[in-house]
Amino acid sequence: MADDIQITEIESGAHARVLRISGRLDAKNAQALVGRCHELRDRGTTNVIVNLKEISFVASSGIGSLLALTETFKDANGALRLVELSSAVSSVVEILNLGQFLEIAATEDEALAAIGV
Amino acid sequence: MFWKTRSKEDPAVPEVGDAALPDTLALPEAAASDHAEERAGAGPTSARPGVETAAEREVTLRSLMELSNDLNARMDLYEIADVALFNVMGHFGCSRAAIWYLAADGYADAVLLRGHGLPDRAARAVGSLWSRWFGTSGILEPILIEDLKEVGSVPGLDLAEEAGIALFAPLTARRKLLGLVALGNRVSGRRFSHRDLQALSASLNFAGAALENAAFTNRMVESNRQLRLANEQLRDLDHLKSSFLRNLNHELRTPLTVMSAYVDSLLMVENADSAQREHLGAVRSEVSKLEAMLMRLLDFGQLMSNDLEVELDRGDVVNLLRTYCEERRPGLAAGLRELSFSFESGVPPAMFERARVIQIVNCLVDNAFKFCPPGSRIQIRVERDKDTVRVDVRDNGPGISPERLPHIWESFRQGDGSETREHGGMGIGLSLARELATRMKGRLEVETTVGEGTLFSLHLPTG
Repeated sequence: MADDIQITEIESGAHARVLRISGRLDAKNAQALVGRCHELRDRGTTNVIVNLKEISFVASSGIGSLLALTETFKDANGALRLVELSSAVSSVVEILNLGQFLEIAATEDEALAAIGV
Repeated sequence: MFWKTRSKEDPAVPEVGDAALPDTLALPEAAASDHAEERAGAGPTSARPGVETAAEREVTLRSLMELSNDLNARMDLYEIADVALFNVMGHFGCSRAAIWYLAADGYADAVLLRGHGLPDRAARAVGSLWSRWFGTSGILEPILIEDLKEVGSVPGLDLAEEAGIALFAPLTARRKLLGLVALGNRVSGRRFSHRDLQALSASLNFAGAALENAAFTNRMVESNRQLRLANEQLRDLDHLKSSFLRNLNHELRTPLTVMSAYVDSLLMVENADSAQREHLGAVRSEVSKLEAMLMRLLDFGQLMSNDLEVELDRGDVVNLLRTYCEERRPGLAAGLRELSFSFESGVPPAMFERARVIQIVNCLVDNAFKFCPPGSRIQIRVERDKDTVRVDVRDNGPGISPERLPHIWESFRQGDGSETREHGGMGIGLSLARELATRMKGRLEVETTVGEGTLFSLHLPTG
């Protein structure tokens, strides 16, 4: 459907994946993202990098899902890193002062370097 | 990944007796400070902790509008829980949260619908304790843990703090307690203000109304489904009856034919005396009556269609079961069992009869529902497995004991008699399910671990 989020998965080493997502991170699409990340975690991927460059809109539930996933991957002794935040995302992150908690990097390469890939 | 279901061995939850509850709950007065900070004003992002800016108020309003738009009556309880929880987590900037629901069917404990960032066991214990506390206290507003510390000793505070919870908020509809939400501290470090708690209450009012509506709708959908199934089962029972009659006819006809032949042969013996002839005649007469009754039974049986024949056709198992799960999910959610569906990409077509596969999967899901307690999870997955398409129905229930396992395939037996009485039904489902799988040139297998769950796998030949 036209409103569905598009998720492109790129393998980056044994335990890391990059997810490039585009569209609207609203309630329904947040579920899709969470489901995909949980599948990765269950298959042993402990480091996930989410590229938010093509996110045109983020709802509260989208932010909530990113916070929950950050906690999830911490509990799995890994990390969820957000890269290339679009302006829609970065403005909400700034307003809610989430920058200290979320793992944010400027680029995919920077995030991959942080996990030694 | 299974969710653990509650077991009797879970640590005892502190009891909340009447004596332990404060008579009044003198919460700190809300925010004259909130208003003062507002009047002071601030820019788009405030460097002053506790000050709500215009941008933040806009975020609040937008969150409420989003939640109102996102919730709808077609959702089941778990979908509503997901939407509501992520919304408030994103609104307030919390990475930990949980939501519990109070089942209406007499299951005493609050059921954990969703938890993020909280250890599972702690979340269950906390939910039980605090839902009872809210139920008995009559408080229907959010409460901050730090405020309760000022009130005095409240059982379970340590448990909540240990789990990283900052506040509890009741989920209500029409002033009735439906469940509970817990939020962790805000990752920004900012405290929850009185205005925040008001906004949270407003959000949870939406969620409570949606949960109540969904519970009602889900029960209606399930009732309709069960009526439809009852009709199908009646039709199948009818077929079984005709098969039984035909088999009975065949089993009795042969000995009767033999008896007739020998009696006729004896009657032809010339030197039989009149008493013997009379006795043999009586036997011959009764045998004739039995033969006539069998003829009538045969005529009756032949009017019915054949019972367990299957018609194999090439089809897409993934689409079939996706639709099936969409139909079943509301009813299971109403009973607080969560159904999920997944599939491997590239599953090939299989040879099967649609109605029979649905019958088998229905049987497995019904069993999982019967034997797994509220809060359990049932997962259906379709994968390719060598030259078969495999349908897995997995639950995280109590599992099947080694003593019962060999008997689960027997007709009219459901483990020991006590379970039959408790769970209802006649236990013929698995026997018929396995027979149907065999007739489709597939097979039905089981793996189980006591305390962890059970997996039934239906294999269908690929097309």
